[in-house]
Amino acid sequence: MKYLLNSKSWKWVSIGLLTYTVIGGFFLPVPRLPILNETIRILHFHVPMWFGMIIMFAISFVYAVKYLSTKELKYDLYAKEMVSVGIMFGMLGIFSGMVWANFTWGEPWSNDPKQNASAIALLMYFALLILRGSLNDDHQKARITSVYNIFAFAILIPLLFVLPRMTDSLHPGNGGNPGFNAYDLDSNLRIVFYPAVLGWTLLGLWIATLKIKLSMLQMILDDK
Amino acid sequence: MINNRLKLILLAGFSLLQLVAFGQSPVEMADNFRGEGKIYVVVMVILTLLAGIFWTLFRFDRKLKELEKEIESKK
Amino acid sequence: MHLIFKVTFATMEVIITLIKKDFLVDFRQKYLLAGIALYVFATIYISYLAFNSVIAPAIWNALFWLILLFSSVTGMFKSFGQEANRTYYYYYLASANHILAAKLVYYLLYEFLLVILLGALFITFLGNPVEQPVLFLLNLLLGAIGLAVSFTLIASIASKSDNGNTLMSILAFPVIIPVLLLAVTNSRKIIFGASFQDISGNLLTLVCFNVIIIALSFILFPYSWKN
Repeated sequence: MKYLLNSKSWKWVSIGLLTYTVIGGFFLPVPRLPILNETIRILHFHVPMWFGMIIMFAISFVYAVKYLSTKELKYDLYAKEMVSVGIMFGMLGIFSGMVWANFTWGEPWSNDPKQNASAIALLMYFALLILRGSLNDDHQKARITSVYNIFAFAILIPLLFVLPRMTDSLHPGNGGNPGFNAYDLDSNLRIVFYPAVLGWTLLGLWIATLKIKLSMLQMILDDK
Repeated sequence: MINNRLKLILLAGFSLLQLVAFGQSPVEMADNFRGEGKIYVVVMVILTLLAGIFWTLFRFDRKLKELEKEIESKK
Repeated sequence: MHLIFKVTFATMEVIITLIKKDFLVDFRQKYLLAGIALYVFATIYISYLAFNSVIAPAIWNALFWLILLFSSVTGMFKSFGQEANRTYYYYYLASANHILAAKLVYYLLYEFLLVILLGALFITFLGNPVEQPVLFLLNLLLGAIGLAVSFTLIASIASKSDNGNTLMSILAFPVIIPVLLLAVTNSRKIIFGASFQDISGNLLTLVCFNVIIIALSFILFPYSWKN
């Protein structure tokens, strides 16, 4: 985190990767699949939102654990800002997905396990923010939200494996739908998709570091 | 006799044509759109937007650094 | 060896004392328990009137779990809500793990009482579509354990805030979804005639969830308990 806060070089990596994502994502050949057609290219823009959300929540989880073991308020700050960036990613992912689903599946919401999982994840973390807002003392706020953060994340991860067993997913690559999944991603898609995930995640971290710096300044000002 | 042979050839020819057509684009993609070069416009627009976002983020970075210094010096 | 026995015995004694205390408090404030019983009765009676006593098995199932969920949330908060003022007392008397163990047992007993009441009222008013009572009860038991243990930690978190009652439902609903989803799906399948083999996978997942939640509660509770 110290490196992320003070160094500038990784931001250029994010810029490079995202530029490459846009250029490669639009120009490189993609598999021709029915139903998906050209919309297969949103793989590079919509799916990384979901990955970004989970990665942000995972980082937040790590800092929540770190707060509980060290009781240093700055770790709680990191955890909180990571959650807010994760929520941003989740919202973007859900709304971009709904626009796409409206065209491809004929309706914006169709009881798909991945849609449900992201909606539940967002509910949990919205609840976390509300919990934060309802507590006053700084240390109590940090302690209680860290506890809920850890609890929520530890419930969320098994949930991601349980939900798909309940209903079949409409997402490409699941249940006989044409498309890709983690194992047979077309190699042309893969060389853009993985950099895209890294690029978007780094962009999220960038925004998070800005928010962290801002909150730290706020904290210093409040102390005076 | 000749008539029949002609029919057969025609049938074979057309089914071959159909196969070729099918093989070439089994699924409709935005090939025309790409052929006309309009995709460059789309990519340029998105890249411009991204550049704007990055520039704003860098500006925030700089502003925050200045503020940090100011608060440090006042301490 | 003797020492270990002595320590375990002492631990059990502390836990049992704490559970007894919880029930004693409830016994003295009868209006709380009566309130929840009335809440359950009123909800079921309203649904009986609303559905005009004609109810499809799938809806019976959904309604059963929904009412169980809402009555648990309403009832669960009160016990921790009362503790807020007595926190400092406990520091001298028992460790956080003792308190959590006592609360878990208390909530489990409470949840079972609720299930019995709810089941009896449901069968009386809305009929009984269940043809495999043993399997249904097994699934219900696992689901009820899941509800009780998840609500225990959440209630301890929510009680730290001023408006804990509202917060309780906001915090609990997303967290309870996995347990609820598994249990509701299972019981729907059972009502439609599934055998043990059909749902054993889901039941096992439910057990795993319960174990995960209990383990997490024991890890996290000391942090949310101490001020």
